[in-house]
Amino acid sequence: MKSILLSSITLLAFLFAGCEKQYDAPAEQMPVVMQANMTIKELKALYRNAAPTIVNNPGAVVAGKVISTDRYGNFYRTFYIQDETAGIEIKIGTRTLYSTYTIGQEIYIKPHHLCLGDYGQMISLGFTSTNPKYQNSWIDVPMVINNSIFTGEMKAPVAPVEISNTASITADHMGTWVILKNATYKSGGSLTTWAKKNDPNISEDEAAYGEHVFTLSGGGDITVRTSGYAKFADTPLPFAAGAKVNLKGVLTRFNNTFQLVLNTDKDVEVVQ
Amino acid sequence: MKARLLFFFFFLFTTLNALAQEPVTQKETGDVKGKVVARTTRQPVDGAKITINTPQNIVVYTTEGTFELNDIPAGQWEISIEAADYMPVRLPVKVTKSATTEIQLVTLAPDITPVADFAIDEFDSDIDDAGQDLPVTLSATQDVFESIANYKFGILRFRNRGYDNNTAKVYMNGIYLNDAQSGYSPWSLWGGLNDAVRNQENSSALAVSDYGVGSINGVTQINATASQIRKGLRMSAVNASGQYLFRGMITYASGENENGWSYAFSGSTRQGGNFWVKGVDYNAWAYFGSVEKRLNRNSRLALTFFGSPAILSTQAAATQEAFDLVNSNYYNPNWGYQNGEVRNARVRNNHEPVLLLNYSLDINPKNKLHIGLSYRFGRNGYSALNWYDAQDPRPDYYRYLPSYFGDAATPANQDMEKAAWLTESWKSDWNTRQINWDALYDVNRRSFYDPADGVLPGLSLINRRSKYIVEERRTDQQDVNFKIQLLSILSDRLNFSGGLDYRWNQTEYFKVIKDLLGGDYWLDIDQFAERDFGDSQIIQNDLNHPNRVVYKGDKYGYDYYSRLQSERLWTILKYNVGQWETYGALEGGHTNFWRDGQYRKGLFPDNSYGKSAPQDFWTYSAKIGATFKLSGSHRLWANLAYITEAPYFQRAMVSPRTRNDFIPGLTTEKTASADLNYALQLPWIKLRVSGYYTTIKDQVDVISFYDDLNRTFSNFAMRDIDQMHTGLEAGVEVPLLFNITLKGALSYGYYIYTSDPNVTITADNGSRLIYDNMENTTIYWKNYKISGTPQTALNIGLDYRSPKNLFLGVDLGYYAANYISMNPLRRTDASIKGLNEDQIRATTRQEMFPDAFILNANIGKIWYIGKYMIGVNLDMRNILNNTHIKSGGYEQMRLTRDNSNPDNITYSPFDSKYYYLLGTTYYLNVYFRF
Repeated sequence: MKSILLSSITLLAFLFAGCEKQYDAPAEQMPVVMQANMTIKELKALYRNAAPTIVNNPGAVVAGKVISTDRYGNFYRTFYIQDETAGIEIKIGTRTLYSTYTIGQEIYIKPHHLCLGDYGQMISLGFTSTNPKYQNSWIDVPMVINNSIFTGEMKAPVAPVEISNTASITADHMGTWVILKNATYKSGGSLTTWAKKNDPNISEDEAAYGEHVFTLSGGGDITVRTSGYAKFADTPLPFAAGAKVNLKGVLTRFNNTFQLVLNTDKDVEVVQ
Repeated sequence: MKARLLFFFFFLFTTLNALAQEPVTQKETGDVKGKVVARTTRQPVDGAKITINTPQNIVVYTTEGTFELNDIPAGQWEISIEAADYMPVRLPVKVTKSATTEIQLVTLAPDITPVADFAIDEFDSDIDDAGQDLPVTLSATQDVFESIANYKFGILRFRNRGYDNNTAKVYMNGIYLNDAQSGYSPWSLWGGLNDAVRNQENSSALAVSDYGVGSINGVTQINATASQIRKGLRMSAVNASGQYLFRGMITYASGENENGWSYAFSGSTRQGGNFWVKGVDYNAWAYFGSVEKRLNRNSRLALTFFGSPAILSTQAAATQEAFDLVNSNYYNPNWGYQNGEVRNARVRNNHEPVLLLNYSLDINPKNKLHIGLSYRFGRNGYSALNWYDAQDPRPDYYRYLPSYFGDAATPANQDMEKAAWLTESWKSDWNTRQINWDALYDVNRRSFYDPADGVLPGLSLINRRSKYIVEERRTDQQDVNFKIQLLSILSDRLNFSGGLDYRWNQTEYFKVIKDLLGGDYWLDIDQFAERDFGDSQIIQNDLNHPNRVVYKGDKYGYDYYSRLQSERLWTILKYNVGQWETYGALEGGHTNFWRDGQYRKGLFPDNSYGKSAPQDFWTYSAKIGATFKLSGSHRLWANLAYITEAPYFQRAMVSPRTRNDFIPGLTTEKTASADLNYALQLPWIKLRVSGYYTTIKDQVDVISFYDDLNRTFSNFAMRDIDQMHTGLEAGVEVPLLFNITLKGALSYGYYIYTSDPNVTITADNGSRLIYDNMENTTIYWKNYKISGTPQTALNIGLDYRSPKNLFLGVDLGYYAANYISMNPLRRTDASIKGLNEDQIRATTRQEMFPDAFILNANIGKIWYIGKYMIGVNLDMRNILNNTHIKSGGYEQMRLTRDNSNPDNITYSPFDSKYYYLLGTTYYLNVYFRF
């Protein structure tokens, strides 16, 4: 009798064993819905006196859709949003943004206490900078991000605006999603790839930016600037000088040079 | 027979006077007389059951401690003595015709050992990474030093003589069970089965045992066949605050019935967390069953099966910055809230049952044969977060700490405002200081399959590719041991034991997906190779199954076997003459292992799938020793040993997860050791003093870790590591007045590295050497200290035991010279290049933890009600509630690169990580026995 009791206890111990606690998946996070009361153009207009400008407007809410992605490595620690009025770079500072800030997603920003800064005539929103070389810095701090950047609903991606000549480019085009149609590839110096990755077998070998110049169908040059850390950096250009190409990307400038930053080389289409 | 005698040496204080007396009248039988007393009080034990294993199995009981067995057939027999509250004892007795054999005094050791129980539980405590070894010994030894050292010093992870855990050899039912892959002593296999494994024979330090030659740190033999487990029912319930909340245990052993059968069962559970560290938890069970049959007068067969399935949520070390931010030295970064529930990412899930088959045969009174077979199998898993192209989910990742932006940050990062914001986040936000599980799910749910990345069959646009998962790293063993051993009395003075140990081990190392955290699938590629190479072949973890989509429960990442065989042939001769006891021991062995890859790794297509070159090692050990008994109360003894051992598989490969390369110049590890001991035993004092000197040469080690700097898994393969261990041990016990005993133990050691080893650092995702010129780089750590144990440990205590079975004890421990575990990289030319003298000192200095005083106390009481016994025991540890005692720690493997001056790129060390001793904890045990 006793042995039956004991062997059943032993058996019980055996059966209970190995059952690891299972956790319920948390509820799907609901997209944030907010009412924007300031346009991106208005936000950018707050930047004054060619100096870092800390936004002081506790009630301000700006809304915009995400147009860039760091998935292919060409954007790093930053993303762009745009609304009907303009586009702006958000220097969020964290990495692998694309799974949180996806192309087409509605983003709400409370810019209060964040800092507008200029770099080569591009206005961006970030954190106050301690480095005099830059007017603003990465936001970085999760608590600040959580209190100022909110993710809303997934929507259709922004349709690109066609730029056919550089003369028609206005300040409102800066940091927006554009398409260059039938642009003619001019040159990329000695580089036949989009950029230059580092060679993992040679640690001194650093990655380097690549710059390829295209002439728009209506006139003017735009430089496609690609990071050496882009996944397609080492991909050879599928066309040669003189080729006609359609390109989609984020339009930026560095002082007087207009630049296009690709999300991926798949946004490049060879016409002829 | 000598085997048994050695056993009794630890429990008895017996003089066996088996000298035949001159026959008076010629009969075929003789008598046995004896007296049984309690070891501690010297009071006679009444009602002890005396059984002699003659065919008739005669049983008598003691009266006023004495017994007499009459008309016993002449021959070699075994007497067993059992009494409530005492450890059972068996002793050989030679019955001579027409004579009376007198066993002058059998002393029984109390079987209460409440402290021992507490100490045994230490073995269940979390063994985390960071070289947090188990305590080295665990034994019910009566040695004055060890009885204190084993139970008290463990609180600060003291290791005997500074040795690694794998130097302590553990046998169960005569079969060697130390882990085949790491050499570690296998206590966790029977965690929670304290009562079933309580019957132990111990030899300390260099001494040999009857079961094998042993190494330099003692041999423990656990007698866990049904007949060896104390007869009766035992139950206990524990409530505690230091490891788990609750333990319940029940054990029953039948003793041997008239048909020669005996059986034993045990079951237990341990549940809950501790009071100090959040997120840790026990969900452990244990079962044990053994049946034994005396086949005939001379032979026994026993079958034993047990397992200790345990699911343990663990704690990780952290930097002082993190501790200070949350205002607790018990911060645990391993957990976070999910849906408001505490969830730990690092969970051990082990269940490795062991089956033992034992046969023993008394060929004749002088020769005994033991044959044993064991089989260990099951799972050994440890979970962790893994992530693909996503932010590091660990809350104390260095970039998430204020120091990343604070005063000490590199100039480019310095930003006091951000530091202040992070400080505020850490202090006010659970999702900052702990894992934010809900956020991980969110990321996974937004990550949809994109055919642009490559078309994967069976997936559509609605499928989500997990960026974060919980994986389980498995080390699943199948271990078979066979042993055959002979014990012989060659003459009155000469005893022989010897045998053959054979081991076959196959261990599979692999990872499985444990939880996709809201996503649908994971793609089995090497993301580090993907980042660095991009090539669709190179990035494959298994070229035989490229672009494999894996789901929950699937293997992925790596999968390989370590296959091992070893044989050892050994012999021990003991020769006693006059006041001398001497022995000599020899062992020869052969170990053979190889890697057997199951995946063809894209980076190493020709060197990862299938078998590696086998590694062969011939080993041998030799020991000699002598004891000189100056008188009954003075004893002087010495041992000498030279031991070579094969390296362990886990330390022998450059990068076992990815390829078949072994450390170049792999060789056996050589240990030479000597000790000299003196013991004094007088009514008013018990004393033991020992000195020892040990060198260990040609050790190898591989440290694998995630290198943030290179964002890849890296391997430090080190060789030519030499160590020296020397020191003094002393234990003393002085009975004072009123049943109070003063006890003390001191271990004063000096353990250092005596060589500058070589290291080769490679990345898992390439044969590229990570740091330039880091092939065969010298690590300057000659004269640095061995870490992981206080090198000085002292404990002084008072024990009171009233005649009415009330126990009180208080003791004070002092621990010093406890050093941090070193990052080899910090002691290389490259890491100190360009630094000034102060910086070099900061980089190369080895931290010594501050001295610590720890006050403990215990109180216990036992009641006897008829044949029942009820006891209660309360242990309090660290009564002064000192929460600032570092119990362990390690230097982080990575360095910060400062390239602000491109002509002088320098490195500075990361903050070290620590564990702290828990504040006051209690352990309340209520037990029942009959």
